[in-house]
Amino acid sequence: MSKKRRPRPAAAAAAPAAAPPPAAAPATSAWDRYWFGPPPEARTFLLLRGFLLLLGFDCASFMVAQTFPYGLNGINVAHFAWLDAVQPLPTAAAVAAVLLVCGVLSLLIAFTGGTRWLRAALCALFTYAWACSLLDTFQHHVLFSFALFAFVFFPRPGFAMFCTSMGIVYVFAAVQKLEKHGVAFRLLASDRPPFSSLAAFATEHGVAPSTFWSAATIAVILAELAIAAGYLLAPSGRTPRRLGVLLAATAIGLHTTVEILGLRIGWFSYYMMLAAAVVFLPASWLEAALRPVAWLRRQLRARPGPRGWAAVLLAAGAAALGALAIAALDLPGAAAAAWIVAGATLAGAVAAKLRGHGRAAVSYAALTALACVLIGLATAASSTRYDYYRKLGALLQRIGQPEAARAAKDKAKLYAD
Amino acid sequence: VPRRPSLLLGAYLALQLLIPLRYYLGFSSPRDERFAWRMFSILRLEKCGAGMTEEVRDGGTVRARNASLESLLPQRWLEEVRSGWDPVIERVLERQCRADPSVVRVTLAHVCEEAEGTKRPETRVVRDCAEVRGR
Repeated sequence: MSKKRRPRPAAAAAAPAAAPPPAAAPATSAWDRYWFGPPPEARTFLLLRGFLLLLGFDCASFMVAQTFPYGLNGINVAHFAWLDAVQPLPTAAAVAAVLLVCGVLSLLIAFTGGTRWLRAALCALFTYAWACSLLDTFQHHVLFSFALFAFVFFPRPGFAMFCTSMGIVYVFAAVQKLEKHGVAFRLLASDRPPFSSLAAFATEHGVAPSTFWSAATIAVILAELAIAAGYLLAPSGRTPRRLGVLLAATAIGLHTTVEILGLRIGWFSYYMMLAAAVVFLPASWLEAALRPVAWLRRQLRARPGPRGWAAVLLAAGAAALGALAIAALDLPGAAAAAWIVAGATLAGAVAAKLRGHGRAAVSYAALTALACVLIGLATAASSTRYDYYRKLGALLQRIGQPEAARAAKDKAKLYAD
Repeated sequence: VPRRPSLLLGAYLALQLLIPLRYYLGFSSPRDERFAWRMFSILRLEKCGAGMTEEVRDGGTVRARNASLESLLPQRWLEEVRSGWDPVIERVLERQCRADPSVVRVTLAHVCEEAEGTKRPETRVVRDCAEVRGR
């Protein structure tokens, strides 16, 4: 047996990388295992796809409906001064177009998993959509940018990045409630259900209001800290099964309560409930839920598809269909979004054909068209357009533009039912 | 596992902690809760008000007139102006100066009553329009 010698640095640099003998192999550090340990595939699959499905419809319905005041009277302040210095005035049409493209892109990535570049593009577009103006001060949109950034690096180390972001948010949310003995929570919750009813019930049974609010605040803080710990430990994969179920139930209960409180926070609670369920519930449960999806994927992959320029032609048809579905939305920015989606789809299809991936081009184009049609259907079925034009009409009336206000209100009437 | 990603991940983690900590360590305005994960904000319970006056050159004289913020701004900007968000106030004053060449000075006053009933002193922000137009 040859005697082991420590190589000189120059020799080590020149030598090809040789595997160290098993006995000497240092186990990867806990730090590396935390970030790069493989999370269960069902967890990462459902987290990415579920989160982006929600985001897609959120962007194209709830968020688009809030864009009506952008650019009005030429006033805007971005979240960052440097952005103000480089961007033109963000108009309602421009921001709505960005959000609609985000919506389509989110759904496309939810259907396909997307490429790293597509996920990076979504992260950049979504971040710009909120950063371009202080008209959007939803804190959870900042969190979503962190989540989308983590998705760029999915599954490893993205899953751990996502979990740490969530854990840190819950820690700070709990810390805030420690200030002034939780007065902010008490003041916000005291006259809203379910806490107003619970406080009344407690008082009827001889519990002093101060005792009730202290107990309620402590309970919320403990729940948030437990969820935070759960998220921070999740990448290690060592959460006991029963504890995972308990953490998921705690998070879902907490966010259901927040929904009942009726705070104006958009769809935030639903994202948090979904994330908790996917990160904490046992992987076997998630795998069981995914069985129909796995079957569908196998069926779709087994089908032969067109190749070559026929694939590009089919992709162009799908791009046109998708663009029509978006352009027909009757919202400012919809036409621009339709052109962007069609152009990007066609460019992607040609690029894929030139690289010899004709079948992938058709798949992506068809799924983009499906995303556009779903967004069109969701918009038609929701109150997005009614909300947009009703609020715009009221605002234009208030700022002394009666004719434009009347036109907006007339449009709102079209979508009243 | 490559070393460099681990370093970058450490930086990513540190950044996520430092961003909200800026608020708690006093490096950002106490009114700026955007990146501090303060989900139950007491600020939304404050009762705030604001008013704007303009001094206008009218022939050889200068007279003061009230300018309605309500007929100028969407609700979200109104809320920011009333609560005293400086960048928004600055942009509104600039806009008033540029919209009408006869305006020589704009003053915006805002005041808030905190959720617990404490009234904060009124704050006045004044902009000389000649200075704004010269930028």
